[in-house]
Amino acid sequence: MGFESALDVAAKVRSGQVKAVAHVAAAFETIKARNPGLNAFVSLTESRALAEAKAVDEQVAAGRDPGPLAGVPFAVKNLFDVKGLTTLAGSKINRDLPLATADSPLISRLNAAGAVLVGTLNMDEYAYGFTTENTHYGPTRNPHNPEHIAGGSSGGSAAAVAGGLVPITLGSDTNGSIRVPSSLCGIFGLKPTYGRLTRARSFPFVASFDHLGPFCRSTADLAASYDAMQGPDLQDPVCRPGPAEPVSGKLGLGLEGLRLARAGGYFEESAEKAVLDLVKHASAALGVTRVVEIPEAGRARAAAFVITATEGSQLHLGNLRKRAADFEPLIRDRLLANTMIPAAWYVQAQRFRRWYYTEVMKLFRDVDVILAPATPRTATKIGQDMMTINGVEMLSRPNMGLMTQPISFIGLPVVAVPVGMIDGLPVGMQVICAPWREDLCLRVSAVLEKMGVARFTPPKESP
Amino acid sequence: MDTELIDEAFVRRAAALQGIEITPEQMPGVIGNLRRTAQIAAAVNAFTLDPVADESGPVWRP
Repeated sequence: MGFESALDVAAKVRSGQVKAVAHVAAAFETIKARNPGLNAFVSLTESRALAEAKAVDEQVAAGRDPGPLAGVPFAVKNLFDVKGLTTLAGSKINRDLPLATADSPLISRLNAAGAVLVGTLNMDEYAYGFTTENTHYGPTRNPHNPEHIAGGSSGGSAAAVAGGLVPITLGSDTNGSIRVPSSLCGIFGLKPTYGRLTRARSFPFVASFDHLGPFCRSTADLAASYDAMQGPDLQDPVCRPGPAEPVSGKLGLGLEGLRLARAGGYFEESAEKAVLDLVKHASAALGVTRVVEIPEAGRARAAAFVITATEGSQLHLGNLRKRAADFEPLIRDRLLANTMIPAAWYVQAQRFRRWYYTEVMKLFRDVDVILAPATPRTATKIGQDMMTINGVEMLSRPNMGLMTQPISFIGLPVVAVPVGMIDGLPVGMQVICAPWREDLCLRVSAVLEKMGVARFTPPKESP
Repeated sequence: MDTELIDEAFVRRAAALQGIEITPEQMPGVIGNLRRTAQIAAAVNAFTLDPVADESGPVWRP
């Protein structure tokens, strides 16, 4: 238990070497032992999980295929609908909602692949944050140093994987909420292309930017879970029609034919030198010599900020009118302020998005992969309001997404890969590709992992 | 952009238009956040876009 890969677990369950029920029961022991120190889980789905595991064992016994993720425990950020639970989305207000009547389709698809749902995970309230310092449910702690944040908003998802509680979790990424906690906890995270994975039956934040995706400790696990979740879904108006495009079989294709570059300009100026050095080291290992400038990345981040503020607050307007005092204190005043943003600012930001997309697509005529830091620095301390990047003091909570916001703004696929440690805390790099080319992101991630340049490092205090 | 235009009187009126009440404890945070957003939005608002070519991204497909 602990840091075993999802595919290793599935292989043992599929061959009958290990019973899914026994593995899942042991997983709950691990979760109950380690979660108090991390506060990653908000609820456990023990009876459901054991029933799912029993069904997997029955399939194995009957000689039927139990699926590629047979018996693998997984958990979801608590903005995914789980039948019979309230979809809290990190809030107190949502406790008043009725119980979910069905699972998110992504949960159903992982279940169909044999994976077993073991619980739901902590997050920033309504996904509006990069730190998972949740006043209602407590902060999630970084497995590498519990005094530090796990990142957010999918902090529980990242801490549960990095802490060895489960091998696969799901989270959401609107401005960086998969890539930031992946970076700060030192694991692999995939933010697919906008519209690739259905968002049906998940609690929204910003419809223009919301993505869902997996967290794992290896590229192969990331690809396997991603493959299991792909496919069209008419319940999500932006979900791409057409068949799945599996990537697991392509991970070994290497760098052949790929043109790689590192992002300069904004991405060099807005990250700490130690972080940039690790990204340069990983780039050099891949033979990257070219540096490209993503045009107007800073303005793209600003436009993402305005659209997020406007759509995010409009979503909660009813409750802001009726019960503002029940919101997370760390975001309440921001949400209230955001309701007063002039429409012209929002529309300008959406139109700029179109301009920026067109310009970035020109870059992808000459390169296939762009490498950039995933966060400007390592994890800040829990409760830390300010941080310094290259000598500039700034608010820590909204600025941890400086590297990620210009990318999700136009929905590009990204794998966040762990590329090293700075003073005992991990940091990640974004592997960014053109829309619908998750396969290339994952191929590069696999190469870096094979080289030993990108790897998950278990926390020092792990058993 | 003169963010000083965003003051308590402005916030009170804008909030009233939205049917929102801002308490005295919330007021400094609301003013500060709206001023910060105004500063950030100014960079986007200053960018010249083509009125025809740069159409907003979202597409409605009935």
